[in-house]
Amino acid sequence: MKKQHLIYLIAGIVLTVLFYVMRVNAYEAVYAVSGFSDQLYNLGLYETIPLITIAVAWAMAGIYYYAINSVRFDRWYHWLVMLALVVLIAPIAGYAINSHVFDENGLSYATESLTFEMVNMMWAAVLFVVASFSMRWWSTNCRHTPIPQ
Amino acid sequence: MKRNKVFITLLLSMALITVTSALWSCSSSPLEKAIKQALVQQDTTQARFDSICSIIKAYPERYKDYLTDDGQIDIAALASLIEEQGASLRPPMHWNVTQYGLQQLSLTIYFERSGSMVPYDAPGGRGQLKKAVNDLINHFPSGNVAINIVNDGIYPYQGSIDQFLQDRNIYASTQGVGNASFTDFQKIFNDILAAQRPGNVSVLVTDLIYSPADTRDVSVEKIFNEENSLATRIFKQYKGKSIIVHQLMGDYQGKYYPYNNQPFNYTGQRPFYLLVIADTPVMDAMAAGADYAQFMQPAALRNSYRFNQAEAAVDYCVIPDWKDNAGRFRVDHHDAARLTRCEGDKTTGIMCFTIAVNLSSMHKSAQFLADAANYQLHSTSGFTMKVVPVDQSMITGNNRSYLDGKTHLITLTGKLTEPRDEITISLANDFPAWIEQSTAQSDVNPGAPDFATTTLGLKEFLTGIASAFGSGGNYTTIKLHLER
Amino acid sequence: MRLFLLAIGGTGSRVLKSLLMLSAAGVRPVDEDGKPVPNLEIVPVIIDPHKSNEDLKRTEALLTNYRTIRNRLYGNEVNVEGFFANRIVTLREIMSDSTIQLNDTFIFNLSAVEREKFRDFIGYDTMNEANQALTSLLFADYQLENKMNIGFVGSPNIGSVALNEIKDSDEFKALANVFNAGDRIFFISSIFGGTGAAGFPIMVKNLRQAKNLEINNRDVLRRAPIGGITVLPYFNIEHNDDHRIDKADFIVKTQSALYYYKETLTGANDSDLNAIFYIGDQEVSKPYAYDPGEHGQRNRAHLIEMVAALAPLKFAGIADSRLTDQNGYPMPTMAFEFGLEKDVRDIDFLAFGASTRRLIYEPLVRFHLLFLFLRTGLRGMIGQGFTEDEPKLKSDFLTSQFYRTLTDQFMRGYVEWLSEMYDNNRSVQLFNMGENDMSNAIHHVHTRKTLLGRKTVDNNTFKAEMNRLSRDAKYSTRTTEYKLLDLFNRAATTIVRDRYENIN
Repeated sequence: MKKQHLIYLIAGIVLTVLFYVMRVNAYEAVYAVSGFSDQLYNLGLYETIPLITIAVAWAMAGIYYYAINSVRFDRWYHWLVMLALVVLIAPIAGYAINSHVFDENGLSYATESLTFEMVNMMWAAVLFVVASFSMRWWSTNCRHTPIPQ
Repeated sequence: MKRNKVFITLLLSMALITVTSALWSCSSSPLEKAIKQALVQQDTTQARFDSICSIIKAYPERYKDYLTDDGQIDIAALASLIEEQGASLRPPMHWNVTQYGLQQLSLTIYFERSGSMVPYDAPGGRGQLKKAVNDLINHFPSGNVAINIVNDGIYPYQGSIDQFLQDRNIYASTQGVGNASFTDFQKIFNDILAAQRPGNVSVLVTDLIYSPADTRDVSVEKIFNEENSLATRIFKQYKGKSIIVHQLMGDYQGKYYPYNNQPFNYTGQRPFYLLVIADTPVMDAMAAGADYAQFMQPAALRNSYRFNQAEAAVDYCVIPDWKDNAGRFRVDHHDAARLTRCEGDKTTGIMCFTIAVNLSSMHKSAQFLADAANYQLHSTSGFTMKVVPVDQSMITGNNRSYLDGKTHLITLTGKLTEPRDEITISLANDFPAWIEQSTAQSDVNPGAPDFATTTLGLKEFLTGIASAFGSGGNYTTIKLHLER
Repeated sequence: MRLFLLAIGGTGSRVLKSLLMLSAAGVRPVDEDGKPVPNLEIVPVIIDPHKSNEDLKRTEALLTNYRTIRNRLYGNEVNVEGFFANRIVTLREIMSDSTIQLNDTFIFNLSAVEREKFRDFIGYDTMNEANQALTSLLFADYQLENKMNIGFVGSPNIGSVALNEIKDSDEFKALANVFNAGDRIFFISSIFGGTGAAGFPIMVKNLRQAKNLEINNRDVLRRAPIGGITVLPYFNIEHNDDHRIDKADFIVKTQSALYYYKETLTGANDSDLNAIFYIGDQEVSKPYAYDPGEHGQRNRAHLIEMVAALAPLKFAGIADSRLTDQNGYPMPTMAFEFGLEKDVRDIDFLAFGASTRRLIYEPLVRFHLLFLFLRTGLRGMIGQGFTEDEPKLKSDFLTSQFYRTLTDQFMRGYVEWLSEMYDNNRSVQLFNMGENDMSNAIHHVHTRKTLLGRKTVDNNTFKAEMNRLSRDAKYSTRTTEYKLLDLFNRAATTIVRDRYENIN
């Protein structure tokens, strides 16, 4: 195991944990509206949604690099397919949970939720990149995807 | 081998992330979680409070900080935890739980049995007085009630509470208890105040007519001055008490004894008074407690005033989205009173925002609270305010968390001319006008137009109490910081 | 150990070519315990006056390519595994004595005989009449008029005279000088031609009688373990009116030569030769075009040559104790023959005996898969997987000298070799000719069965395995070329064992 790759892994984990620690700032720096954001905060969705996003990003990266791990699926555009899945799954899951919790509490913030999930989409993409560069090094077939290194 | 190592490392790192995040989300204990949830759901009821207490009792070791030495819930410690949790919410939320510590309160009714009181419960009248007292008894949550008869002394009522409630003529059944011919306020108040134990609420049912033993040829001014000094002297000794004066109206059929001691028959309405006396914290708690709402606000209440009401903080929040909003602002996440990035409307330059306030603990009449004139507003930019009571129809899903539990909306409008402004809204504790209006200088003429609504020397007696506690100041003050 | 491989005549060149192919595939000589012979260097020396011989030219070009490729892969390392494992060097390369001027080739410079007619070579014109009469008795007129640079044209009588001169050449002196104790000498010759038939016994004699020679380490040379393979007639010559090389002659010549060998070299008590390998086939090959040398002898590769190429490897693996006695003197001759498992005309891997299969099956299959992989797979893999590990394999690799030498030249020679053996009789078809599908490449060997049909092998199978190996290996101090071939070799070893039916 190369030291440099271990550093990538540790850095990726640190970044991800940092993202989780700073999640409220991370999301609100991009999109914050009084009311909607406060409800997200109070209802604990700033815990759940980032957690799901992290899980989706890392799980999909794990699936790509270690479960699929195919010589027929090792091009940068195959990785992009996974990225596309991540930026779809994470916001959809986030939106589902978001609207479920809001419904339970009698809140309706449809447009705000959509905008928020756009931000979530962006973070999902970032996290997928982070997860990819954390774990790709030991993949047998995809360690040089997306960018050979 | 190598491959396994890599996999183990990966698994470990994934596990690490999971554990970290799990720890993160579980960093608040079940107790804190339950509190937060109750606050978020606006479910600040006694039932919810009891369920929170049950968590503490289920883990006495873990939560020993919230238990007293004898294993009871330490309300103060729990209240500060709740305040802490509430402060972490957006907007910060409050839940006054001290009220739930009042379960052991007892009520002592002091029924004035002077000659002038008897006609209030005449069989031909509608019996508002008896009804008001019955209501007090029925609406007192603990049911721990004692009834005394008061005139020249305090005499316990001989029957049971049920008997009292069913008694059609309380004065008839208590005839002969004490000396009904005069009411010695000094003695009565001294006795009541001295008898009051912690956790006791005393209510004196009275017409508040000062009738010393011999008032023949004494000028009314002299009686008033005497009454005033008397009130001050008595209550000065009990600075820790709070007193609420409720004024109600009742049918009066019988002999009226004016100050010149020349009684006459009078049939019609007369005011009577319920003086609620309790330690200030108890009074505050009752004012805040939903359970005491009916007790504290008798149904037929005409006027009311609380003496020795300290300035208190009220729960309020800025409503982010409101129909009247103009311009832009952002509520600080950590300080609900701070509005940042304030901007006037692009075309008019006007900024308008609304705060929702819970003024119920002010214990003031709806009319009083809805009158903007009772508020003092200070703003360097010249903001103006409107106040309207919260109407259930205003509440929608999205604003529920802001409006729930709030009684009034204060809308502030103005142009932010400076980079920052501090808006101060205060509800002034002025001596109410109704006391003056309910005061008669003479009660010898039943034909006088205000005979039915006034009480002799009321103002002199109540100002006496007021000067004992020292009045003025504000009931509450809200300070808002606006920043561009 | 150095194995001096003296390849005499056209047959020598062709056997050498087969040996090159086997070596490229990674077939290595093994000792009696089955372990690769350590520190082995093969020093081929082609002895053929017929310089325009096409077989010689092809072999020499392939030898040069082999050397280029191997140098790039392993540098001067001797003990390696994988493709091009056997180290093959020129005499010049290992020579330390700088007083002797040699060309850096594998060809013995027979300058003395090159341009002369035989009659001039023996000084016919200066002989007295009696000698001239005797000479005329021994040699036909056309033989006397032969120019010797076209070889000895099936005339051992001429070859024997000419090759006797070799002992005086610079090359021979050089060989004698670099020869050390422990080194071995192996001759490849045909018994029925001109050059080999004559040269082999003469050169053995010259070596064994080295004490008479003016060379440094003649004692070592004299006692050297010497082996040789004698290729018995296996090819036919197309009928031609000019009868200088005649199939009918082959049998006669072979018989007399064998008698001669028995008398002089391989007799029961003879120890001039430690080991003699006989190889021949009664199944006659397709006729070769008659060519007495002028137009370049160019013959199709043949199974016999491939089998013959195994002889020097076998010889290298024989323990010293079986070759020399306690005093360091050669032991009496051992004789070896070769037989097929099945007497069939279509030769696949299953036609060989178990020990031969063990020796050649896996290496040849690996090499063939490499051939297919380089042709169809590698280009599309550049930019991912193992190609991106250090040292990186970029697309310019495909235009590098090494890659071109390997694919355009050596692999072309390999395909030629395969198809020539296929076209011949017996027809050797180890691999399905023209088949690019790896699953179906080995003739009569299928991939293993699974629940859902058979396993497949394709470029991606290799890519995946090479990716895996490359991830865990360290090639950063190696060349790209080494990484590619070593990875492929290791991947192929696993894949061949895991995915194809086991025929060993």
